[in-house]
Amino acid sequence: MKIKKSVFLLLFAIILLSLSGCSENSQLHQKLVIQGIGIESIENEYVLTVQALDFKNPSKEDKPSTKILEIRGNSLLNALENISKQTSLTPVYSQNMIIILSESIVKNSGVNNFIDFFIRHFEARPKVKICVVKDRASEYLKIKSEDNKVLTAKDIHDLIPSSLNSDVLHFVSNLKSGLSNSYLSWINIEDKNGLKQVHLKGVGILLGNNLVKFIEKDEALAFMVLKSVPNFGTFVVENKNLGKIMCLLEKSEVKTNVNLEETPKYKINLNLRISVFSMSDKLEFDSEEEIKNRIGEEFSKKITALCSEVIGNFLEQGIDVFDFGKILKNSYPKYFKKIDGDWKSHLKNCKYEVVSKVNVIITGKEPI
Amino acid sequence: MEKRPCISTGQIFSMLFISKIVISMTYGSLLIGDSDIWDHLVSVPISFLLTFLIVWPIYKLFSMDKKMNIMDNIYNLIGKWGMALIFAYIIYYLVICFHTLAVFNNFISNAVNPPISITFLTFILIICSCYGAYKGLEALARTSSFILISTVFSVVFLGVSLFSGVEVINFTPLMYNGSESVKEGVIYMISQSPCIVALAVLLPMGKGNKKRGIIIWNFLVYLLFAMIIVLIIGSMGDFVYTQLFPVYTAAGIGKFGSFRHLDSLYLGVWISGIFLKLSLFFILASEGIKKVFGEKVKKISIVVFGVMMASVSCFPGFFGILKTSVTTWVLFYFLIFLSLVVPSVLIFIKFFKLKRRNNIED
Repeated sequence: MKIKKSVFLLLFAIILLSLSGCSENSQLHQKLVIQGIGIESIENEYVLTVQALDFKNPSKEDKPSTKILEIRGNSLLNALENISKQTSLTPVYSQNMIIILSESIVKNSGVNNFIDFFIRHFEARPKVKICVVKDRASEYLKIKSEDNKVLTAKDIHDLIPSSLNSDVLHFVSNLKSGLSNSYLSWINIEDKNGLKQVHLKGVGILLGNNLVKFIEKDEALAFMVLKSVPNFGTFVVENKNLGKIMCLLEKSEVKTNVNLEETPKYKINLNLRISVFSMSDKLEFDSEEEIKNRIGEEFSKKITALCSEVIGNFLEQGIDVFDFGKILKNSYPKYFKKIDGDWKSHLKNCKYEVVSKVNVIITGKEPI
Repeated sequence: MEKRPCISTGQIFSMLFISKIVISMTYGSLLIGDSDIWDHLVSVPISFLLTFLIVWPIYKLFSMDKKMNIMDNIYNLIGKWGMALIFAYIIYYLVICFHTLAVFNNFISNAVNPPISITFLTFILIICSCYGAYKGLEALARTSSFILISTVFSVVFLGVSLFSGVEVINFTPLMYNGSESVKEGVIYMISQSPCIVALAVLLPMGKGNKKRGIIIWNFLVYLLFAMIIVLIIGSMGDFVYTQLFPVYTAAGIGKFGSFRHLDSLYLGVWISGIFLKLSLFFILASEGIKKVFGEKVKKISIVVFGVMMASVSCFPGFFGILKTSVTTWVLFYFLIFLSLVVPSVLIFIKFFKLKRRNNIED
């Protein structure tokens, strides 16, 4: 019995000793923990900019310092392989938070040429946020903030609201569905008093796997409302009786129904909550209830018109970013089957109606 | 009278439940090909009912003599010629072990990609499973209770973490592209139910209400399957079809409070489930060996099975067989033969013999 136990103990010890924890172990400083990846194409080459945690040169503060690498390759895979060759470090992709694509690469080569890695690599996370920029992707991972420190990938990640669904999961899902068009959040650098700041500018829209247009300002605001993304910039309502009012969209709930008449007719119900923080003195003597009603009415009119215009523009161009195809397919599968292969050309014939209900909260009455 | 291990019905079905979950958790394009996962939701109730139909002959044969398992019945009713059938059961249990190892190998190499050799990892798993099988069914049944608790906790936790990410728009109309995927789903679900064949040996070893056990086990297995389909499709939409193991991917995107990236939880539970399944099927195969060659050879046979599996693991190319649709069909026909055809024939022979005996007595 003793011999039997000894044999088992020996066997157990051999197994434990041969595990990777005890042999061929790799220290943290031997790894390149990637936080953000910028992808662009220069002179027919893939240029990757990688922001990673630097464990070799730790900073004195709580946060680990970051390092930036620029690697080139004939393909994305080739460039990624070059990371280990150039640095002799093992790249770790599981902590990656953001993928920044330059306009040129999404517009010209299309995303199919490189997105596969982020879908299939065993360390890639589907919830990694993905965005597009008009200039060089590398700039965004090198930009310095107020205290002369590099803006971290986490800061850029936090700029993109999760509710916008600008992540690999939704992006690929739309690409694969063949019904809805994919879109990417569009970030931009702005110069404010000599200080560069990154902010969410709007959205880049794809047709198939190529970028076709950018939307910004009011168009982007309407897009965000229709995608249930709150807090996208300040909204200004202005008319003769009310004067100028500034507010923030705090909540947006969208419910889309479709009815089949001769052609599909969509009804988009918006349930919004806005907080007014500044208004003209024209409303000074009105009661709060009256102010809320008047602002709500005016805001509702404006947002309804804006959303209708944006939807109309997209439908005209045969772009389905509001999942109209999926909604129709789910509601009237038999009808949809007849037009399934040619859905994009049927988009132009679809009718729509936007209805909004606005709940107003007044948080400030500072005159503009 | 030979000494038989005796465990409770609850323990039998705990082991079978874990064995089934292990494969359900690797459900994805590797095992089902291009089949529409969402349509498999229709396959779930069909497979649920079909399972009862397939289990019935085994249960009926068992209820005719509650002390005899299928191998005893074969030996008693067909005699030495029945050895070939006993070998068919042994081969089936070993094929299931090989299939489980193939799933393990493919999963680890594609989804985890560990720094150590996968063959070495497979060896360790086989050694552990052989040890588990060597310790016997009672010990394995006790272990299964612990694994079941952690499995249930993890499944509930993963379910809750994914629930908030479910988007109703991803639920497209069922059978939109016809019923082909439903058929494929049924074939897949039934072919991956070796537990039915395992019942043929396990039923006489359990104490308690087996009929209730079968109903609860079958209901929970398919409820879990339905939950998996709803959660992965709801939370990932068409992204599911880009993944070899979507349940694992879903575990990675789930979040619950400050808990994120729950794929490690999945891995822990899954590997312990694989260990349990391998050990159980080694024991079942060794029961067949015992019937043919006797008790002494039984324990040695477990080591032989382990060596056989380890030898196959040295040629990882064999595991690529999972990618062929023939595998599912082979498993399906094999299962139907052993759980439906053989027990039905045995029932008929038994019934005929009893009738003849009664006639002689009269």
